[in-house]
Amino acid sequence: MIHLSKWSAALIASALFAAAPVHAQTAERQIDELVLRVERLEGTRAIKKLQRAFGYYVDRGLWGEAADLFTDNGTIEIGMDGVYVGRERIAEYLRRLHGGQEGLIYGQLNEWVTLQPAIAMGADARSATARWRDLGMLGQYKDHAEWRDGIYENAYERGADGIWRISALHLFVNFVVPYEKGWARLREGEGLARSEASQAFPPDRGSSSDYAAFPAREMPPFQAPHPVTGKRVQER
Amino acid sequence: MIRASSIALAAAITLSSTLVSPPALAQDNVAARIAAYRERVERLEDQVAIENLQAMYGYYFDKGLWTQVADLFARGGTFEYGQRGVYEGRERIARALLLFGPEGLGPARLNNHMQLQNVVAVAPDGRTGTGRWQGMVMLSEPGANAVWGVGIYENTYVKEGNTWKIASLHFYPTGFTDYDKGWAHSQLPMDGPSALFPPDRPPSEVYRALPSNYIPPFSFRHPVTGEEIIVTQPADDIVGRQ
Repeated sequence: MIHLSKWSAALIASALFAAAPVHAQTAERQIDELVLRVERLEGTRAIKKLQRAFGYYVDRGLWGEAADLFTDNGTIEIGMDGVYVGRERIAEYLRRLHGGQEGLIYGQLNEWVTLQPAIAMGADARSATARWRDLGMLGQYKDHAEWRDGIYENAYERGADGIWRISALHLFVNFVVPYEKGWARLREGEGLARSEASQAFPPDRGSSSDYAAFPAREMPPFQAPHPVTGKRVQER
Repeated sequence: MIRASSIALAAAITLSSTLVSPPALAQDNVAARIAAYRERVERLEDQVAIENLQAMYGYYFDKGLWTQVADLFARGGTFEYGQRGVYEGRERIARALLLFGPEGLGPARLNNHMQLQNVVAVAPDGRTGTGRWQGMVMLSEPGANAVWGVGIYENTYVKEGNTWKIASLHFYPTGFTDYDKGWAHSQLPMDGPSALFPPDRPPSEVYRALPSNYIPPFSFRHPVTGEEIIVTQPADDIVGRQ
């Protein structure tokens, strides 16, 4: 659609240019502005699709597909596990985080329900950030079941090829709690632990934030300014 | 695709017509068409802005950032949560929000109010809008059991200058339940108006949560038939609804 509309825009503009240069320039500029606005809208849709696809792939253990959503130097950071850089490291980390196999284990539930996008699109439609809500339903049949509560603060880039990718995914895990117990019975320090995967397969960088999981007060910083006041939101 | 190729065709016609007829007419056509497209793009941007606004409401509300929440409202905006009554204006709203916990919450307080499944409608002039949202709720406070909840938001929005703000927010709880018992065994009553900080007006609609089945009136018309949805509320002897 972009290419078509650009082409027809060029056609209209060239038609006018021959007739009346001043008006043509005005029309051309107006069309360029509109194209950029449409690109920002399209980018917002593309990012929703991208992040939702990440959830769907991870849900079913498609680690390579999930990692392919990232830029060359893309990063992933989940809870206290530290930062993994690049698609290969991301795929391997995700694989180990879920038992080390392709796909899921028989009886494994791994729903990374990804909700409530608030996308801050860059003025040039080339980069963006987004906050998302994570509701995890995790477990192993006949063994254990957990709820996870978290917030993503992610960043995205549109490449020279026009494709949007995840440049940084950061899931601030508020808690992982056994279904039977419920979050109200969590004690200090029980809400979150560094995974065995992260200990056996250390990250490229340590945690970028000092974690305070529930029942402590966790406040994932807001990348985007307040939508009405335009001011930065102080997290602490 | 049909539309895109018809644009190209129209452009081609424009091209040929500029060669044979006075250019002014073609320019007017192009100018009018660009203006019409700008309107359409702006209505899409409006929807995105409203979706972001309401999502951020949820994120701030979750964490007890009451000043940030109140700042999302328009002048004279209203906040109504269940049967607590209506609070009007940013200052009153900011104080009423303290009924949901201290500023910034605190340890062992969970106040997750998800903002999901929106149907947003923007008026043709792009100055006002409405949104219906599904709100799943996860709560806890120190020394109490966890709570699951679910409800519906029916909100209105207004564009002041170029910025969308919440004109009215109304959360209709469908049902709240004790986490351990689940909704088959536990239905928690809604809170009424606060004695500590009474609302500016009583509840705009009087109803009960589950096991009753109140239907929050729909802000949007049926997307296929275009009809207004006429709702019949459950009978209630005390409320006096037949």
